[in-house]
Amino acid sequence: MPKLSPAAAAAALALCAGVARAAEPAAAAAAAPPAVRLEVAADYYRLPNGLRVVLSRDASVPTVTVAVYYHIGFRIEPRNRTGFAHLFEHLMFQETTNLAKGEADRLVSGNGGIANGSTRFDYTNYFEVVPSHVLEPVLWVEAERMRGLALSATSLQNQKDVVKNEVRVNVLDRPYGGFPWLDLPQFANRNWYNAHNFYGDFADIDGATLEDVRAFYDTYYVPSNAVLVVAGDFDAGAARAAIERYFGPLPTRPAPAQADVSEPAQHAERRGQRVDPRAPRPAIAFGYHVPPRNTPEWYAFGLIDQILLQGEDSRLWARLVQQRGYADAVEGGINLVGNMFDYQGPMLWSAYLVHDAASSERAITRDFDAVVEGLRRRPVPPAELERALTKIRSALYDVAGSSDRFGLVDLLASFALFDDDPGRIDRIEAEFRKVTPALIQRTAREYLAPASRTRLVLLPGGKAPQAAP
Amino acid sequence: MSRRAMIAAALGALLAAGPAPGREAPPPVGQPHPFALPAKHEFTLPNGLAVTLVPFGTVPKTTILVALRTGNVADGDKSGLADLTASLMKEGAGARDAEGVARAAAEMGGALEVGAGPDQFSVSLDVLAERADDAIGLIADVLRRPRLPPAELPRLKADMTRQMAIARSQPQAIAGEALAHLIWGDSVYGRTLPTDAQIASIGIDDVRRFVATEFGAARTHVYVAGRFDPPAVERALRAAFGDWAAGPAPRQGAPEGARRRIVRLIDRPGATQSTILMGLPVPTPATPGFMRLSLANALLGGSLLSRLDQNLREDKGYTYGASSHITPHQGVAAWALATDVNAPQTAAALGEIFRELARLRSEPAPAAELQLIKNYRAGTFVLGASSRPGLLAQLAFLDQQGLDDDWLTHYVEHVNAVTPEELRAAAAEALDPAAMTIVVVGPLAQIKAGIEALEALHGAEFR
Repeated sequence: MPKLSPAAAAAALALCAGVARAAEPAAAAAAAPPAVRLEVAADYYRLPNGLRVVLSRDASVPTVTVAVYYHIGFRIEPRNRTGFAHLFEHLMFQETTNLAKGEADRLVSGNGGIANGSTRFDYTNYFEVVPSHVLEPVLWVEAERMRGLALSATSLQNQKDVVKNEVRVNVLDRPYGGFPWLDLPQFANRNWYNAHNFYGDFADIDGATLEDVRAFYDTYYVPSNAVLVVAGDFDAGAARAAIERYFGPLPTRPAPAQADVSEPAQHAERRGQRVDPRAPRPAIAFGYHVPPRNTPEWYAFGLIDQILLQGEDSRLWARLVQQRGYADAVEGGINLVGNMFDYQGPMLWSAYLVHDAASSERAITRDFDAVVEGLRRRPVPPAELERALTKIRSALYDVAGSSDRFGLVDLLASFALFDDDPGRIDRIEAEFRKVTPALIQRTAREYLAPASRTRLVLLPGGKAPQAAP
Repeated sequence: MSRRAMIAAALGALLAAGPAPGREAPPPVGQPHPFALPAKHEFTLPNGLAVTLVPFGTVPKTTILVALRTGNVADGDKSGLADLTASLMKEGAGARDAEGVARAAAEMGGALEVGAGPDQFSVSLDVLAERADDAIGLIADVLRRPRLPPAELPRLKADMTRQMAIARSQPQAIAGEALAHLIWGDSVYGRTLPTDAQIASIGIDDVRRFVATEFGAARTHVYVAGRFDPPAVERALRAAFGDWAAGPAPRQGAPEGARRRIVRLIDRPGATQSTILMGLPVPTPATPGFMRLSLANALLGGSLLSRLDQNLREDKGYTYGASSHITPHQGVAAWALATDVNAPQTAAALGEIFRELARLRSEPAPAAELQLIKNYRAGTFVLGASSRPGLLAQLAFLDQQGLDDDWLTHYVEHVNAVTPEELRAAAAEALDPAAMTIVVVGPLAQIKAGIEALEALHGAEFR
């Protein structure tokens, strides 16, 4: 749901992890590593047809969360079919061999659960949280979707209409719609996979055919390109048996070849500008390419994000909001439609704000640069680094302790899908703890250089609508 | 970019219908597992401050929510005063300046939130469990010893002016402001977006007066949920708030709302969609039989499976989503239906909405359909009560509405007791389209004639 929601952006560092075991909470000794450590129970195995399965049991609440993640996101779609990955997500809720339109929703929601799906850079997911006793029918539904999409022409047309209305309400008719999550990648990237309109041009959406749907489904929606996660209150033996029963018979199909999404190095600042006739105030966004996933520099960048941007204690907040008063908030993070873990490929770190016309782009950029330069010139004080680690740890607990477990399954699925290692979830915090002030400074020097930046400006234009009295 | 941006509520239907011949049926559901609400510990300090502690959850985090029975209801003619007060309270308290407050909260693993609503003012902080005592101290500083630096007020007023300009550029907020004003007039529930002049009129003395006269123990309730040591937290609360003056009694809301058929069309030239928002005052949750109305709303527009979404989205493709909600205030409540539809289909969409309202009020729902909604409500109730924020929201809602624990402990039974005829009768009484105010924000040159020609709006007053 990449609506431009401040909450989503602020939670950009949605780590996750499971149940905190741990002894007594440590009495907060300053700078000492916490005595509490997260440990997520996670069984990981593969069915013979290649489907990866993660089981994470925690019976503290009588609900269970099921998610299937397919390794196909909006980054990768046919060139004349922009928006197709997302349109396809909608189609997976229509007819299947054994379910008429709407029946899957009735099965899940009508038994007390919540269902949804989402399309992101490198995955499309389908997920449910249901009372524990509804697990088996939900597993059946997900297997049914994986083996038997049976879309009608009527439903295809209906969902094209729905998706176009989604784009209208979220982007076309919305002030600041798509700013900057949809706009910035189009200016900051050069590889088409990273730089096209992820929501899709209407001509491309209108042009989608049942043949396109079949080809996409046969290529990407195969067991070897997917991960199934079950997290929550379930009986491990019964769950394994049900998974074998429903997913086991699906035929083995080759995993799709992965497209080359690599982004060429950037050597000069890039500028973009967009006029938004519905926006009453200008806005500005800054974007930088983050280090490759899983490297020490990438963990350092996760801390840089905390130090510079996350929370009202961050440096950019202090300068741009508190001291200069350019805006009531500065927002952003790594991966504006997810978190720093749930993608695989090039990614931007972004920071953005809406300001008054009296504040010039130049003045804001000067202050922004001064803050960034501070991090490149001087090592981070230990207390500030410790505070960044504390924010990460606190976020981690919340993902683990959330009753819908969506954050938890997101991490488990991403680590299985992209790294073949869901157990990584238990090692995240330790990886962050290895980061030194020197590594942060080095990483900032390399990745936050002015030449690596993209600056996008949104200019207001046109007339505001007549408001009610 | 989800199938649906917001999961609001829901209903459904596979249980009743068997599979078509030759099709594979899904496996049956099992036996429900037991669920019990976590126990709470409640007490009141001698100065009247109410406390609810709920030890709960698996992770070492604690959420503290302080709810005060005041808000924009105390703005007077300076709309936005409560919100500006909330903002200025974060700009330093006790021994700390603004940056000190933000850092202290972050070091506890949290972020301080201070906010105002029409009839509630709140301060909250969600922290690592081992810092719960410190968090209570910080909250007490902010509530009782805010510095209220005058130098920061112009910046915060400029921020608020900008925020309101942005809100007024959004069709949903424009429609919301118009509907609220038509229903609630100049009372607190009718003034959703302060004007530039109102913001400009607010001075530091107004903020100081608000803090001096609106806060006190007698109108304050502290909720704590999570993993914490209850005796230690109780000690911390008594130390932080025990000597606070009782102050004024809780503010009461409850203005009269208008039930009248008015159609207000607001032009948004060039828009590709029309924002439809319609509503009216309805009985509050404390009214006997409220659950019947609540289920009627759920069936109509409370979820992906509701009739509005099935009709307007899944059948017609007019919209990305259509939903309806009941918003309880203090002593009053409002029902509203909201959707953004493709502009050329505005009149057709309104026609379908009126048809669905008529069906809801004239025909008892099929038992199978109703059962799916009941299941949905019961299941999502458990889900909501299983998180710290969800649990605190439920407890605060109970107190705001003056409901007793029975609302929560017997929620599922109350849901299951509603019959199709009771649901129909509740809708017939409360959701009369002839008493609804209707707002449409869209490209009027394209949509106005079609709306005026709607049979269901014959004789309506257009404004």
